[in-house]
Amino acid sequence: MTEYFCKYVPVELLAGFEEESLLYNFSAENFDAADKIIHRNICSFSKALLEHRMEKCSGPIILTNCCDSIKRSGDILCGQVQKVFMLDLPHKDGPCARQLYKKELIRFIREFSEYSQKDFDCEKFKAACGKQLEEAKIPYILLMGARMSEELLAYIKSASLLPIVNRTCTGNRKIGPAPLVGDTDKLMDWYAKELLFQPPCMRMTDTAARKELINDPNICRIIYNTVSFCDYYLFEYSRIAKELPAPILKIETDYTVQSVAQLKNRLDAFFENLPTHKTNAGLPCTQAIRNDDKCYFAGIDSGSTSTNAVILDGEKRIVSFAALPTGISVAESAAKAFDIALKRAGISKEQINRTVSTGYGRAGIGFSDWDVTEITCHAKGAFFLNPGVRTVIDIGGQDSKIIRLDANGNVKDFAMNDKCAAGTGRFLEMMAQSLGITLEEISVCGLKWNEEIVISSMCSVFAQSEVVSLIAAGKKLPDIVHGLNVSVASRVITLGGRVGIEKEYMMTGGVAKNTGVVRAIKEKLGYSVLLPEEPEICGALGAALIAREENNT
Amino acid sequence: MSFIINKFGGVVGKSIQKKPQRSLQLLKAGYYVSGKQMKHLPNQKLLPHQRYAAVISNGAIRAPLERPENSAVVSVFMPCEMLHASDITPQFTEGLACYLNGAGCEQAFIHLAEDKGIPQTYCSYHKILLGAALSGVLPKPRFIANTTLACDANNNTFRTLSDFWGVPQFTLDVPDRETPDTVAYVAGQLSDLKSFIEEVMGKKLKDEDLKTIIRRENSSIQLYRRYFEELAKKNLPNNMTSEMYKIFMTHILFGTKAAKRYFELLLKDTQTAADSGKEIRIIWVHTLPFWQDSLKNIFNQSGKYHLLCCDMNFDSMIELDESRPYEAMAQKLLCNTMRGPGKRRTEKILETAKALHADGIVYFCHWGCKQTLGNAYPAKEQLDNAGIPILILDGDGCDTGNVNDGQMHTRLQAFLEILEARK
Repeated sequence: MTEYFCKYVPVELLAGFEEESLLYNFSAENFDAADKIIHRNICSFSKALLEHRMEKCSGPIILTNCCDSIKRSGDILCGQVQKVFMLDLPHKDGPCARQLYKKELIRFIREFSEYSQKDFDCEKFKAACGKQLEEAKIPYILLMGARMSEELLAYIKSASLLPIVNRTCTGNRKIGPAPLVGDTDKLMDWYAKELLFQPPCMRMTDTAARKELINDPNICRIIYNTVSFCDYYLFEYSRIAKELPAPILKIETDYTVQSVAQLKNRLDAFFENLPTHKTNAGLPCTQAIRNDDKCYFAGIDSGSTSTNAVILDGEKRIVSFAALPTGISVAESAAKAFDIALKRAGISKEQINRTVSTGYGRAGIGFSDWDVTEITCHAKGAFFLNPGVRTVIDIGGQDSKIIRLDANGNVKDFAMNDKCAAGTGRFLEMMAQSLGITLEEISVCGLKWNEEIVISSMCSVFAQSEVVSLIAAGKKLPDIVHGLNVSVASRVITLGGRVGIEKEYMMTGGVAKNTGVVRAIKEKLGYSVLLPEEPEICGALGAALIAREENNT
Repeated sequence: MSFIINKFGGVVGKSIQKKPQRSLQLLKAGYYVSGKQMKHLPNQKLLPHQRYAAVISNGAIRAPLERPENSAVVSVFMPCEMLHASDITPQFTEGLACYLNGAGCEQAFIHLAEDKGIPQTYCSYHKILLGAALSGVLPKPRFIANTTLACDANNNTFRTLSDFWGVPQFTLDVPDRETPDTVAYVAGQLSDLKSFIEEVMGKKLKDEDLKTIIRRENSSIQLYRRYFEELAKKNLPNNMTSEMYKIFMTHILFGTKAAKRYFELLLKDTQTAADSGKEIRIIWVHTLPFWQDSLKNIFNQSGKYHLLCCDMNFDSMIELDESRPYEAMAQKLLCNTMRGPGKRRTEKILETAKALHADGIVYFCHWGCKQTLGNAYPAKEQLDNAGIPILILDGDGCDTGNVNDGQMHTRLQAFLEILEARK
């Protein structure tokens, strides 16, 4: 079995040697082996590939020098005495580049023949050619961007009700049928052209033909995939994101199995807002539905820092709420918050018609009837509190989100911070710890600043050491805290730039209680920001509203 | 960084979005003043070739800002012989990024670039260039010319800039293998580049002018080789900034009168330098974090630690055959140690380390440079096996906000302590 990884690899040639081939495109459990042999800040796919090759595989692999990370991965595999065929892939596709690649193909045939001790059979090669792009004649979701792991692809296909068309860089391989006559030299002339004339990947010089990928009226949504430390596709994303008629979700994977699990939250939120999304209508309720004002609905938001519960009555009035720190057990914290909210409302569990859960722990709450992502719930809650809201800025414990709403309160688009904690509640917690003050103190301490200090480190770990240096340099506490507030505000507003933000703005999540950060965000926006009385419970409120809506469907 | 530069950078940075022309005028004025100061009131600790390099590099950055219509934005490995023969001034990514860092305003450009969707994981030099262009501060050049050597960022950055400015772009595709076919492939493109320049600039490039540049470049290489022979037995005071300026001379300014003069001065200063003694001799790999006080203070004009050379300054030292200029330039590109497998680069580092009697190698992993990062561990293994101590140092050549300064300083100092103990 010979492995390959890229669409420019001449995989059909292997058929000419009667050699089986496998597109290696899988996530890794971890990078324990890869981290020992390559720097960590290399494209994650390259690390997943090295992890696999070091752990499990000793057969040959065909690579192209398509990017810096793969080039160096190829070097490392050669150094590990693995059989690597590295093809020198031109960046251009003109006649001279085709001639050059043709010679590479002929070299490969010669070297593979020597390696495998087999002769190349032109007829078998020709029979293997003729791969066309998959198409959909009905509205579909287009996958674009960098390569997508088989695990993630499988999840997306299973979760979407619309057909998925994969045009990521491993999904748009296209080789026409081979000419019937011609010797190896002529065939390779044709084959080099076919390989180089595929829909171009972003490493090619001329990428104009990529416009055709999005030129189809049947595209109703786009999922744009990026891979951490692969910079190519973010350039395309930033160029096309605002031009596309179809809503687009940008995701990033680090090619680990865990990242697939983490992405499910964003993908679920994306699918929830599809026109064809199935709701929980018709699902069994905890009790028979009653439409009088004595029926109640509960929303539970199980976040990384706090767990919140809201109980609404049939008239959408908030009857009670509760907010607790999330303990070790998500389910126990949720049950506790729910009990407190019930007690405050003076009602029993049996009087709740339906319960919807949200937040990171939403799937682990056994007593809820349904779970919905916090993106949809925060949008729902914010719009309920003020129908003028068009942008929700939700800064929670472990992530920050910008959610764009349309005039009907539906989610138009959203962006979330990546894995780094900068711009989240956790970042502020870390900084408060370094400064030796409480979260309450850090909230107001920066309001009386004098000297403008710029916290230039965008990484939270580096920022922590920067803060320590500032303390050592004798800088005043209010000035440092103000610098931190501005740093968080900059992060969040930058995040907003990905989806475009518009007034009215509302802040939700725990950090909305931090006066200094709120003020810094207002200053960055140059506009006022609406603040709910209890910003932490907005997600739970949205969940309760959804529970009530579903009651009426 | 001094208080004045901080203030200056803050003022420049605040205007880049709303009043980019104001920022540009400030930068031009700032560079003009610093250029004058370097010329008339130079740092007396610097050697003549270092003072000269400071003035020439300043001029190389300023010229495209003053006369953008006569400039081209290029990548650092782009052969600039034809540009010089046509009197076009090149502006290159790393040089401009370092100068904007030197003006204390690189953070503003990095933030702007990231706001526009440029990845945080991207090379900082390229982020700063993109920020400078997309903000409207960097004026539109006449054209863009870039190679695919040595990194992926060239494809992204220069395509984005060409689209943004609406100026023609020429990409020189440099394969990873050196064969007669690849030499012909690159030579063909260089011949096309000549036609491209002629068409864009509306004037013919005279063969004789190109030959003059090539002759000067060959003379410079001869001087430079003699410098390396001398350096093997000398302790030449050096500093990170001067070593960074040397990249101007060995790349985009190669073939100019100014660069030739620089190599003459460099050789003379080396010949008159003190003989090598007990100093610790270091070869630096990749770009230099010249802005980082904690690191540069260790090397700057130090008699104890001798910063011998950065490997980018000996990546391709071959003379060109003026009767076959395109083939010769193609061969020079394909001989570059940055091309192809990482072990080629490491072998050249090892060869130079032996020739210069280096005590150790600092392998600098500049943020976002996957070519260099990816070769770090194999290079360590290769150099360890050869008995040359190596320190892999993660950092950033131009983004002051992207380093853990204390840790970097400790690691470098500890490495030098180990070398001292071995000596």
